[in-house]
Amino acid sequence: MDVRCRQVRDRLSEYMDGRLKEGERRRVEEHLAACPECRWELEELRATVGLLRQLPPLTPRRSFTLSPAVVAPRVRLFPVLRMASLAAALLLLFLTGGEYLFTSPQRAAAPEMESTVPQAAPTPSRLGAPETGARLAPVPAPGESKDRGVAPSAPPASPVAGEESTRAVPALRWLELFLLVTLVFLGGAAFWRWRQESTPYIRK
Amino acid sequence: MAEEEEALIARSRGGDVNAFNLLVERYQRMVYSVVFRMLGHRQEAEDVTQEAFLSAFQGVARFRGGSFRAWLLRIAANACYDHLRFRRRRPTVSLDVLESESGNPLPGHIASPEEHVLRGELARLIEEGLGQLPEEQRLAVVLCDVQGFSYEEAAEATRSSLGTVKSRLSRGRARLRDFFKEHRELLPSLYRHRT
Repeated sequence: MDVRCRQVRDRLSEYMDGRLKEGERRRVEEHLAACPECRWELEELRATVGLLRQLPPLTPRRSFTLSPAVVAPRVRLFPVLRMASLAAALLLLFLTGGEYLFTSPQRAAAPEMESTVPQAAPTPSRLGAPETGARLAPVPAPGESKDRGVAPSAPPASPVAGEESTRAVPALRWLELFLLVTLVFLGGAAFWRWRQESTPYIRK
Repeated sequence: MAEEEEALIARSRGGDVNAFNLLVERYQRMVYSVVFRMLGHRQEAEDVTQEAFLSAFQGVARFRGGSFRAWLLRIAANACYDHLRFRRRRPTVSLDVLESESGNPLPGHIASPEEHVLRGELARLIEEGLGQLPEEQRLAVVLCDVQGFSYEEAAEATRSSLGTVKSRLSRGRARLRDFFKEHRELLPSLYRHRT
């Protein structure tokens, strides 16, 4: 099959449907007049389409009309879940940010504690070290007790404040964890409802 | 007719399911025919056709004018493609179901007088030929050659360009021709000499 035959055969489908432009139609007809193989190809194509056109429309066994129950408006949960996820995310952000701001002064104060009361500074492995340091502090001579008295009292005060913040942080952490889990759950539910509620098959 | 259809569409947009059902009755045979030719399986075709009409009702607000039947067929075609993709992932139904329902001219349908004219064996052969086409070529051939759509309406139904429709139709027809040549002996004598 030469190039010209190939070009004409690519056009035979449109030619058969009368969809070729005037100039091209003439060129195809000229070639067909001189090429029996391409004429045969056209006849085969016509027979193929002829067979297809014989297929009648089918008559389904049932009707596809919609019942009112099937098309009743559904409660759209997706917008609600989306808002709830957003609220949870904002709350989590607020708490995390607030915790960071709240505890950072405590973290800044901690080095000062260590510098004023060296003997009260506990090693991490010792239990109750601040209290031990506080108990040990009054042991020096009475003359010095006033000065020392103040200093030992200071460490107990700041560990207490520190204890309050250290108690608050775990509570916050639990709350944040709870919010994170809630957010994951709500986000997943929102995505699932979005998939369910979006109209299928109507795509751009 | 066109005005009446516009009125029905307008009422459907307002949620009037009875108005929409009049449109369903008008187009269901055509939509079902296309879906069945695409899927080759009666039960699946019924399910997918129903889903397509439900989807069309829910999304009728998005119909922007033009050919309503082309818009319906676009939804049906998308439903078919999704179903074929699903079927490829879970091949539990084979197209042999079509073959096994022998004796009926066209399985699962009420045989019309026209259907009796075309013997069951031939119809089955044609449907087998359609089934071996790539999906996009199959749809182009079903729309244009089986349903009689113009190129333009087929382009609208498939959301593709005119050139794409022409190309798919041309290739689909050529593949079918080759298929019929391979199964020449199964064609009735009326057609045999032509291929």
